[in-house]
Amino acid sequence: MEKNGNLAINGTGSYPGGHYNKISIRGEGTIINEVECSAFHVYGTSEAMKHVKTGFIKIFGEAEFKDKVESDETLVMGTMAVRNRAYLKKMKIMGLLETDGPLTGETAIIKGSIAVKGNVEYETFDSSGGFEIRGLLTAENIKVALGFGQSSAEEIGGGKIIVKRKKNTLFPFGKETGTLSAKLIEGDQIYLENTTAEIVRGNMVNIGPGCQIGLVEYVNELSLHPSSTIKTKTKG
Amino acid sequence: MSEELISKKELLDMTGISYGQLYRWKRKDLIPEEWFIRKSTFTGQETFFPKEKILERIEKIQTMKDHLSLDELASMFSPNVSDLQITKDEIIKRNIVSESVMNLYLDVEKGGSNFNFSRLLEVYVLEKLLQSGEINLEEGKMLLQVLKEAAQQIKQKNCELIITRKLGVSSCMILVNTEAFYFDPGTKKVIQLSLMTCMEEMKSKLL
Repeated sequence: MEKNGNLAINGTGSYPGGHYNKISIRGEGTIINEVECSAFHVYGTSEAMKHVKTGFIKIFGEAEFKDKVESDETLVMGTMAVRNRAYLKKMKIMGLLETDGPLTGETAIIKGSIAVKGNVEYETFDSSGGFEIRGLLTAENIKVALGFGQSSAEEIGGGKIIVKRKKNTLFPFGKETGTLSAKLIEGDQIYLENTTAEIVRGNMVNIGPGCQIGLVEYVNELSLHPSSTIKTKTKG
Repeated sequence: MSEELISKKELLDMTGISYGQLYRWKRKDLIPEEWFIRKSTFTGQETFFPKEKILERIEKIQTMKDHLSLDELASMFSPNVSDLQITKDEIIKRNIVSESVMNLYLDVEKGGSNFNFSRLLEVYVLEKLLQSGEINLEEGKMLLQVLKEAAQQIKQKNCELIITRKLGVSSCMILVNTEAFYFDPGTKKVIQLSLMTCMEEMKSKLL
């Protein structure tokens, strides 16, 4: 096992893990053991069987991680699938990210889409793509721009939650915009558009156009756009 | 031993914290995931918490967050402790354990004067129970044996220490992740102590 050497896989191959400086996979590569490296770049297809810990992940092709992943910075232009938990401190997803376990970190920027089977915990969560979260989405700041398709999360909780429609820049005349659905949304400050939720709780709740909410519980302030409906509202 | 629950809304009303703060503390692992108990009510899903534990925890966070960062707090509440090393004199000087109990402990255990976390916890529990007069010396010795036996479990899991007496005979046990337990009517429970709480107390004395 080399320490701090580079590993480049240009054809097809299986390699052991260990410590590397930079790993780049251009063909089809499998890494069998645990690996620690400063950068992990995939331009082709890769598979990591065990825990991967790295400073930088860049994926232009397809990458599958069968175990845990830890990375300081992550950029996904292609497809990244994680079969366990992922800690991606700073991530930018232009393609697709899929995790079977929880996804945590500090800053998330999503322009493509993510599908997570556990909870998602970030400090800043900024999505203008799509997401499907089968757990709790929590962040200090949650900003969602609904461009296309349906985004969903079981629960959403945080400090400031803003959900807005976004005009489709490719087909500006289409009426189609995205929607968000959640069972529960809780936050200090909430603004929603195009959202369907069973319960919304917060200090300041502003319901914009296109929403259907079952129950709103607010403390300080509630406003409602005429095109939206709230079945029950309580203050307290 | 079913615990009293409190709904999230009541909790926020009682403590004056906001949704944002609660979620922030959850993200920082200041509040363990197991405490979020989801139940369906007539209004839909609601989250409940074990009342006593959560109120105590929030009070601690609120009093300590001014002079400690959230990350420092998180490491204090997490049960897995780093490789702590402390000497016998330091422990006595900091008033964590009295000199007499310390000597007694060393007498029974015959270990050195450098303490790691497990041993510190053992002597701390002994001090706590002997000083309160709830157990006698013999029971103290028994207690140490059990604590030594379960040392690995205690570090990782939520453990409770129980001491019972029946017809003048006492016995001591450690329960791991228990929900409830029952004894026959002749048995008297002398002590029930959460070791997790002990660790937190101890850690707050160390800081």
